[in-house]
Amino acid sequence: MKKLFAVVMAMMLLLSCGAFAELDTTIPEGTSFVFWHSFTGANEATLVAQIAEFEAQNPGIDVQEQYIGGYNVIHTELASANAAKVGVPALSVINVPRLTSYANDALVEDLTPYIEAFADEINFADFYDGMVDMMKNGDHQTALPFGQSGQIFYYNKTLLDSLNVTFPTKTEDMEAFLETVYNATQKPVIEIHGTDNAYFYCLFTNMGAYMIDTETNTTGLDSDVAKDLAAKLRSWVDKGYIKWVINDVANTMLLDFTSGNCASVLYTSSVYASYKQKAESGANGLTFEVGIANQPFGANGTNHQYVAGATMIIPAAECNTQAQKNAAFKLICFLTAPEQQLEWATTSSYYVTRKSASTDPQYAEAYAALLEKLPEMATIDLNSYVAKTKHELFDKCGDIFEKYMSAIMADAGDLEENWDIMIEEINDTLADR
Amino acid sequence: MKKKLTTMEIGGRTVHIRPEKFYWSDFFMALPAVLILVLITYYPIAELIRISFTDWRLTSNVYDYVGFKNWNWLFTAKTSTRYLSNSLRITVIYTVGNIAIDLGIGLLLAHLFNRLTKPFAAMRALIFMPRYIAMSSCGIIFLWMLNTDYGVINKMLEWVGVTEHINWLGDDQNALISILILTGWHGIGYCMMIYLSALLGISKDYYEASSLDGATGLQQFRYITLPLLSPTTLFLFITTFISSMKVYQSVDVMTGGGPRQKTEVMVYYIYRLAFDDNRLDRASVVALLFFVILLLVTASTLRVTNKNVHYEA
Repeated sequence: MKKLFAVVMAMMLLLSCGAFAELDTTIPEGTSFVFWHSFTGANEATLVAQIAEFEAQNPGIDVQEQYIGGYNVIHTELASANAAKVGVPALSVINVPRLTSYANDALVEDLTPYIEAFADEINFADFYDGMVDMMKNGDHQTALPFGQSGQIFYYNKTLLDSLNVTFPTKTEDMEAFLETVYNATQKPVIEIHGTDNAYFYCLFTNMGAYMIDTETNTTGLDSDVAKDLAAKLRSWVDKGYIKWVINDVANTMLLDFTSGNCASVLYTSSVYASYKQKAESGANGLTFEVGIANQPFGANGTNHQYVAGATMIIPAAECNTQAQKNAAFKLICFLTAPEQQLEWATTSSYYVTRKSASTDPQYAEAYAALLEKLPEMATIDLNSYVAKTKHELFDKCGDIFEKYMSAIMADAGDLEENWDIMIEEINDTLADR
Repeated sequence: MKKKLTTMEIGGRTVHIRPEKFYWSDFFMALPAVLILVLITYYPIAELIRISFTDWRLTSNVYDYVGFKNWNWLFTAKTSTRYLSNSLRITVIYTVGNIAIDLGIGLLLAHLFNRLTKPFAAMRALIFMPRYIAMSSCGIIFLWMLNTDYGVINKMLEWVGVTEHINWLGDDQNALISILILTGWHGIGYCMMIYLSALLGISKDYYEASSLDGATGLQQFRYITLPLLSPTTLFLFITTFISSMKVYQSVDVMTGGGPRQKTEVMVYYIYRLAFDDNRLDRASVVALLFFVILLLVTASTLRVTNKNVHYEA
């Protein structure tokens, strides 16, 4: 009887240990970790200042922030370091579309236990739902939003006001808008970033066409609605309403927009501050006010805006200790807090990732400062942002999509022929998983 | 016991060579260099072969051995054959173009500047100078110069009446030409210098004798200069061939393989497989195939052209 009792007690003890197995959140004095990021200029300066503030608040933690390069460089370095099992940072910024494959390969830590363990330092429910949803892999929260951006239209508000037109909110109103502005200016009305599908993909999904149908493992672009939209875009390109930019895109679009060679560009929200500054200062010979607009609604009212830009991960590599990972998560908590987010957004034009930043009275002053500098930010409804299809081949299929779209739009390639080859190539890629 | 003589045919004559005596000290003197060579050249090749039989993704630390699955993918999968044939075709076109530009213009310039005077030395230095600049820096400069809307090249073309701006890097046909212009500008000087040194090594007696026989300049070039430059040409051909087949940096900076993979050369394709798709396994089989192609083409070129090379000046 005593033996049985002892066994039962031992089992209960073991079970209770398992049930209460929590993350060891200890961060000893002198914990130092490496943080890789991709921010430069004023953004980097703000980030460095915020990290210094974090270190002052947490004297036992030393953050070695390192600018590595653009997203592609960070992805390459991260994968290489992971393969070598040395030199992996405890915290890194990556591009959102990469997250799914990293999560599938268990390259990143599941942040769920961290969120629970550090609950008093991070209000997880305060993040915008679409942003955190994009960074989920099944039940695991594999990243947290930081440096989020969207794909928005910048337009010459002064010009549109003088023509008494507003930027269309629905795809069906686009043609009339383009015609009016083109007739008045005889210049391309919209320039579209043609080498990244993220910018024009939203137009397709709002019409109901998706790049990957996860149920059939084929592309949803093989549909009449997708082809019709592509034909419509092509007709606008042929009429001179739209310019599909595939060359030196960032410079070309900035110069064309700020010098009055086009009325609008479809680009990342993270360049709002620099576009505004250049347009309002007349840096390229024309002074005007900049407006921003979301992607237009689809025919049935679908309004998808997609989360893009950066996200923060803690690599799962064993070369970093649990203490370093804890310290890294503490930094995430700090950098994604509403105060820091408002300061970060005011400098960088990246979206604020916390709902309370715009609603909680304690942040009213900082939010007002953000809107004073970037007034059009108020037009962006971050609640309408949703997660894209999470598929490890999304990026690869996107490359094929943008390749054929640029053949059709920029090189006047045959729509039917190119579309069919594109469908075949995407389906082959999906089959070759 | 006396060692046997080895008999060889050199230049149509039979030559008897006595084998050198083997000393262990020679072996140990060479051993460190051999070990380094094994470590940095042969070990990676062996590792490449091993990885080609796994399913290793760069982002994953676990992998299994999958036999010939990757080789099967290489030769049968639609995704592989489509991109592989595209990159092979582009690499061959680039290589032919680059060899023609570097060797052709290099030889022409060598002839032009084959004078030992100061102004010619200055001109030679100017032509050779791009070689000192890193390819990545050259690529960025050319990127700006070739911008369709704001690039200096299109502006200069405007002055001579070409008002329609050429889309140098975004057009399917022009993109590869743009890269050839950059690499040609970068590499011509080197070929010119090698040809110049070879030209200086040709005895003037040949030209004087042929002049006495009434040979024209063109005939002298055809029957004296070209044959006597053939060892140099072979050397430049092989080195330019290998470096052209392995072109990467200029493509990466200028076009990133675009537009629409029209400049995606083999090495760029391998890079894309390894670091964009994180498929080290597939990148390994393509790299091995590329290695074999390079080896076979170089060996057969040497075998075929050696018969037409004149080593005696």
